[in-house]
Amino acid sequence: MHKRVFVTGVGIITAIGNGTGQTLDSLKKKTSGIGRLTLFRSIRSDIPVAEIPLSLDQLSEIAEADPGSGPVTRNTLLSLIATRQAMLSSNWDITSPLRSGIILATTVGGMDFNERYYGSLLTDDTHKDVITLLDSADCTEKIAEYAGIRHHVTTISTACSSSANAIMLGSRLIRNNRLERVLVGGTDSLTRFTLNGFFALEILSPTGCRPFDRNRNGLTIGEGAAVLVLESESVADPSAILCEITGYANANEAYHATASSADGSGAFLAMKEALSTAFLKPADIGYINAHGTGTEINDLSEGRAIEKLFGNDIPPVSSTKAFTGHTLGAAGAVEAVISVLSLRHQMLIPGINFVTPMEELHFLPVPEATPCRLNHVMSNSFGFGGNNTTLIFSRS
Amino acid sequence: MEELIGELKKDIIEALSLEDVVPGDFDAETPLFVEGLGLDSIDALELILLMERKYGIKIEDPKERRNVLRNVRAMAECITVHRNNHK
Amino acid sequence: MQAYITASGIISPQKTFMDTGFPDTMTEGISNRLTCIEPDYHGIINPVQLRRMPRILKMGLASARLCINRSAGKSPDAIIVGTGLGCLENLEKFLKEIIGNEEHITSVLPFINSTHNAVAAQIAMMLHNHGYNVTYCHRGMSFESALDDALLHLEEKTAQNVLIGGIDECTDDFMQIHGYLNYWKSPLNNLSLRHDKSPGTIAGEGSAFFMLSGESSLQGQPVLEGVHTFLTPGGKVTSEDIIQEINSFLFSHGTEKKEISLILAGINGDSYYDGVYYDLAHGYFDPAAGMAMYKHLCGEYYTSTSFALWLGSLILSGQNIPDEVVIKRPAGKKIDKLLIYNHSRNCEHSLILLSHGKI
Repeated sequence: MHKRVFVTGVGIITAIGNGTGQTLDSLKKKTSGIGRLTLFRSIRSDIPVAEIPLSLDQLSEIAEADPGSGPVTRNTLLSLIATRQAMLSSNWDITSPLRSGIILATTVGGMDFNERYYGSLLTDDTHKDVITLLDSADCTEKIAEYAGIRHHVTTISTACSSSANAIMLGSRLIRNNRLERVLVGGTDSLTRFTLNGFFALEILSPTGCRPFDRNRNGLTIGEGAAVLVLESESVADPSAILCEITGYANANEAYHATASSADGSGAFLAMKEALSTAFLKPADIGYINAHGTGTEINDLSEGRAIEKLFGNDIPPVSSTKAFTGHTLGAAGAVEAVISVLSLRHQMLIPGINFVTPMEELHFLPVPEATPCRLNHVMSNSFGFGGNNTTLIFSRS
Repeated sequence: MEELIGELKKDIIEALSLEDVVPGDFDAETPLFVEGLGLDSIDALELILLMERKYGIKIEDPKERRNVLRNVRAMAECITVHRNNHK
Repeated sequence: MQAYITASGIISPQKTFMDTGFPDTMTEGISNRLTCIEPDYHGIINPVQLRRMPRILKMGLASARLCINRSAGKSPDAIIVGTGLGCLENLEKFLKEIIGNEEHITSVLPFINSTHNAVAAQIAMMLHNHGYNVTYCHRGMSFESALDDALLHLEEKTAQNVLIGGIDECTDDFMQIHGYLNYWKSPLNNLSLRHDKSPGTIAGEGSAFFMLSGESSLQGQPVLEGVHTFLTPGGKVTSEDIIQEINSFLFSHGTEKKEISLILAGINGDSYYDGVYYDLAHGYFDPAAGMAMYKHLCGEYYTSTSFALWLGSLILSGQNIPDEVVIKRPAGKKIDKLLIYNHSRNCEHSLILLSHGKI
């Protein structure tokens, strides 16, 4: 007997704000979080990024991290902040006997510490206390301990679709009654590693990303964390329900290590299958929060896939990456929270940094924050290696 | 020029890990992309980095890149022009 | 939900690729680091791709390819990989270029190849597979997460066949850095690992892929009955805690502990951490049950239970336990149910239940 999956709590921190209130405010006012790099020194500092302008100490204070517990990576602090918000908004009781789990996602893990201390570690053991903080699992285990969860704990890493896959797995576990509640989400902090990596691939925008614009010139890296509480219909407090997760799908394009195919077949498959799992038709979707990185290839392939699937009935579409930047492993969860906000507030989210329509597409991004009757919202996250995930959120 | 072409061939084989290829397997006019050596977009990025790192040449315009990277002779000619301009 | 293990392909520090010697010959040497015996990849992997593939990708692709070849043409509906550290060598390469070369990058490939899901992605490209594709990276529970997800897919009927893998590589940097935490023993003969009563263990690596299917294709294919993981933060755990978890796990799979013929334990020679395995053998499991170990053959690494799964499958289908892995032979002749129990420094624990033959 399948169980319905409800979102009962959300938490988020990105360049456009700490918490859903600040996030929604920035989205309505079309205030982008893209600006100059100040977090660390880099020869790439002329490239715009979407950083959270808070130091480790400041994040530590907000997260109320225990100073006696030793060094904590930026990823863990961001996760802790988002998790606390999610748990609070869902009245999460850590003593509850409910079958619980946690699935988080990241691509960089403790890379901020890796960059800071790796050189020293290759020389001597002065900084050996950070060794266990460097991998992708450290953050998840710290959050698991905080939330009182010891079973069904894991970490997913599939590049830009990582946290969308975490949400999908969490949904499947509840739907199939393996779990009654689960924390799902993801984090990625800004690092020299990713900044230089994407620079070397020549897909970073020198101006700030322009999703779906004819003159788009690349992506803008951001950082952030977002966490959602998912609960089974059997245990969810109706007054805490924000929306329902009704559809999900992951499809692999199997085309190229970094680029999507021109016709967007992977994106098409993911969206189509998500609709199928939700028992919905394309016409039922009221808004699409696109992956929309602002790269030449992604926006074309995703745009084509949307047009192929939705035909003459393309719903309002926007990418919010011109607000938050591309938060990499956190993107799926960040944009899931934005999709939840969109549903809760019955509002289309605008796509900013857009001036000139693409010749190849027939739709334009949503221009302003617009009140709109919404029943179902689709969120896309497409990653390196052709890993494409689509989630569908529904009003409840 | 011929010496530079010989050196470039070795550079390309090394930078792209073309293990089963020796300089004698292709000539200066062999197309590098699609046909000939059959390189792809990731290889193109590596060759651009090679031109920058070893020869100090930054080629940013996509059309110019396609032109310079079409074969080894075109790369050698670009390097030679750059060297002459910077004497 | 149960699944048949209908095929496998493995590269390990033993001669395990294409049945090249194991278990008749066991690889041994004086070392604290076991390194995979790799095949010649020409002929297995497309040469155009091979040329710029890092070692871990080659290992993953080759072992996955072997598994697929043995799957009687079955195409997987999903590809799920567990890796504790991902493509570590490439990550280190790119990282060192950034910090050592002051961000002057000489090659873009290490970055592309450093993503944790590179192995799963490349396998999908090799097979032109458009199905579900996810990579788990959670230390000693990475492979188990992949197993669990696969079983869920079979239960949901969103897949009939799932290709799952466990893969990790060992690097010089990893050895050096974890040496500061006293992870390693001094070099010794790997086959005598459990007799060495000092702290520390030996490092290892490997790539093991399996086809999990809802239906068996041949008689006697081992059955994956279930998998379970649990965390004990800070390594604070007692034998009673572990017994409770095992009891709960076995109960949920309709199994009594007396049905376990053999425990395949993650004994790694570390005197700080091995005690619990022996405590369980003496104080909890049935006296008739046997015990075996595997890390003296593959070394300690986050996805070593994938080697254990392969070894366990071999034991079940052949109904034979190689002498070199036996700590205590089971009293009974038939090996019906086999339990793999492993923990990573008392923090991440995993249990995998296998059985012989029919569901």
